[in-house]
Amino acid sequence: MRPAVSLNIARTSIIATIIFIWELATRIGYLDPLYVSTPVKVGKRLWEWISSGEIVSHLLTTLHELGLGLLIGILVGVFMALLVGSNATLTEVFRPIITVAYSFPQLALAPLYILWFGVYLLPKVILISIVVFFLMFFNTFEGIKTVERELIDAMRVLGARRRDLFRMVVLPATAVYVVTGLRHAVPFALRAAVFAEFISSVRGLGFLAMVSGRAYDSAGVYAALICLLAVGVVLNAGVGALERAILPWHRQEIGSRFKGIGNV
Amino acid sequence: MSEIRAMGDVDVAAPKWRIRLYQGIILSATLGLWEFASDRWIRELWISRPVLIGKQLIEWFGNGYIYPHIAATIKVASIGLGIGVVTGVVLGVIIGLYARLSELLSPLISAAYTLPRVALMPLLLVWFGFGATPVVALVVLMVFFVIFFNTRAGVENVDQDLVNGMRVMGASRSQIVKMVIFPSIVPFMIAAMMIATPYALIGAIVGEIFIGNRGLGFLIISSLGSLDLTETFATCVVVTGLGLITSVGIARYGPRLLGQNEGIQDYGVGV
Repeated sequence: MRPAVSLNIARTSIIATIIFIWELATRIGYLDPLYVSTPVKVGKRLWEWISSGEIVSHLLTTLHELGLGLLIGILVGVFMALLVGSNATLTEVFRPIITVAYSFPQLALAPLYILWFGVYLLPKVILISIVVFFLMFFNTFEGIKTVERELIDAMRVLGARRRDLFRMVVLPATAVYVVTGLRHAVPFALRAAVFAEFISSVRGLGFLAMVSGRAYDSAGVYAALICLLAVGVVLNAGVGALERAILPWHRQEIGSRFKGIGNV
Repeated sequence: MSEIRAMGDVDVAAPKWRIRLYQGIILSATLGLWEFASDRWIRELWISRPVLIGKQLIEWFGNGYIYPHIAATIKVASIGLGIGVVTGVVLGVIIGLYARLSELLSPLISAAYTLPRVALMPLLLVWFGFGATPVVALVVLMVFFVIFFNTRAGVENVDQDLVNGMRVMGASRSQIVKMVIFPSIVPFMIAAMMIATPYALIGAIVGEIFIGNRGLGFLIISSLGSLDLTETFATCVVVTGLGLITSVGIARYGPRLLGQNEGIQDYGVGV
């Protein structure tokens, strides 16, 4: 108990020190508030947005895009992976096609979707679903490949039908990978939402940051980034809670043993 | 694998020629449908057509128009990758060496890591203005965490017996870093760079779309601005080619650098 408390005190004081130095440096004139703003201004801006309720519509817009995009992407991705992965011929046919599609940075198509589908909800949902689709598809696909042949053979010897195999072997074995995919998909979805909002939008947290940036209003940019950070932290915590609920045996600390994928 | 597959009586892939045939059918059906739909169902202005895109590509590679843009993107990506690798390795080693510091800072680092790097673009715009500099900065930010986390993991995985052995023999801290830690984190760094290289490419293109004034990303956004979707799709083909060369090259030659037989798996590449 005691060491944990002192650790948190140390962490808080580090943050406090950084904020203090930031404020002091802009007061004295080492840093130009035009570029870095000041903590007081950022705090005031945040309070302004919250107290006037302005932030609510932006927050809801971004969450709306994220929710729909994630839902569609996850459902379609997992379904397609199960469909393609459960058949050897389909797997072979689609492998190169997906490799090619996957080599393309999906975010680069954001401007095209906006041209096609307007500046409102639809292009963002499409972009997010495609990004999420690929992550979920790949991870689920990997999961299906790891299902042990012996288990399947044993089940079939015992007279299991295809549906039983799916429910009792494939699904549990794949669940770990689906959750891993989800953990990657959430930050990627946030990134896609923000990027699409940067390109063109009329509302949303990304829109707030972009508009502030274009107006050289750095306090606004920082305030919007803090809101985005909060959304990211809450979403990550949500996925973590989901993981503990679905896969209590599968514990993995995010970031500490980092191998591979990242939220870029 | 194939023998095991063959033993089960259901899940056997069709022979290779039939798979190639199916793939050919899917590809030609898609392109054919696109070609057919253009100006029949949807105006050509909105979707262009495959033949025009092919012609555009031949023209670009013929008259050399595309090369400076490819070069610009690669240049931005590699400068950013270089800076990101150096800062990521240095900070990763420092944090990895001091366990207490690592414990103290890790929630802050994780929180910072939660914020999408792309979201920092308006800030980079304010700091660096338009042009190549903010794009390089974006690439650095994209690459940094991959390198940093892998380096830290590498340092934390260093064989403690070796470190203790060195200590018993009276080695100083800097000698331990030089003779034990650096050699043993090399595989982690190579793995990190293999993952980071496609990220650098994505960062460069995404940054160019938002704040660039040259390169493939800029070509995408400027051609869309003039409603020339043939150019947009042709650029997308070039980008895909570049991405494929990078990821296939890494998958094929990267493991050899590491002395492993299996390819490094990473599914963050294209998204």
